[in-house]
Amino acid sequence: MKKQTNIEEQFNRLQSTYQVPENYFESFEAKMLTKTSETSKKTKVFSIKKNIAKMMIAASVMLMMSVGYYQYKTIDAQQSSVLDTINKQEQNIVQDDYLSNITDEEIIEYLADENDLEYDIE
Amino acid sequence: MDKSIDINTFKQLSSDAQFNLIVKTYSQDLYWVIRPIVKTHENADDVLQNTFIKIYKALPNFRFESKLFSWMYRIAVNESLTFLQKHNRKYTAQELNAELIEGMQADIYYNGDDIMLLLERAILNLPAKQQEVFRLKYFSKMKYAEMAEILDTSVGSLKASYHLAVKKIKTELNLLEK
Repeated sequence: MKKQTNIEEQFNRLQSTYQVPENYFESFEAKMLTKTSETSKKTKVFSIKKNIAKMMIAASVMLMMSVGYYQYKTIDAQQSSVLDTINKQEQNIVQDDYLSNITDEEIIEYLADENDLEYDIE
Repeated sequence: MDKSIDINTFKQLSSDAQFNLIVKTYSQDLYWVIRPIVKTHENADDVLQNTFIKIYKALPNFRFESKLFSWMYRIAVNESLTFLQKHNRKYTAQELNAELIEGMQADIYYNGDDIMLLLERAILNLPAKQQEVFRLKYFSKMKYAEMAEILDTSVGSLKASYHLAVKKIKTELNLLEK
């Protein structure tokens, strides 16, 4: 029991062997407030860098979207111009006087010859 | 260790006011968490500053899911261990312990005699959990119930850790005396 008390006494002495400078905690408080205001400034600088990074990412996305939209529009325009040309050619063929001058009998005769059929026009 | 901040009042303060209150209320408590780990006052001062900077940065995201002091305690312990790892990367655990004891002997803010240095050496050889209980009991002057809350464990397990630690220390001191 005595030994137990002795060792516990030694344990209780542990903290007293660690000393702290006089007024350490008072001056620490002031030092800490200065330090955190510096950190706060650093954090602001860091946040600007962070914003620049975000802006760069946003700009890249916008650029990619613009290129994509431009390409989409260009292909669309090309496709519609091809379609327009085909439509115009068809209209020209339909409206061409050359076709309107051909009679129905001549067309039937031509088609029958092409398909090797016998025909009889009344 | 029965200091505490009224959380409802605390929540209504601005981040800076919260931080100032934390510094005023918990500087000493956190110092006595850190000092027994890093041993010298100079190291403890560095780590305490780093701990408060971490707290300052993390405070806006603190959700009060754990107790404020438990949260700060974990930051302080992690900062202390990180500090030791950073400064003593090349050492094995035994070399690190020897380095810490040498640092204490050279520290003008340490006045332990040979017996206390033997005791410090014996504490350093304990497993991490037992060391933690020892530090909380003799440096932070905590009761088992408070420790249990902070370490998220049972009072019984802490008492068992403490008694095992005392037994090991006694054995080690006897071996050293012989």
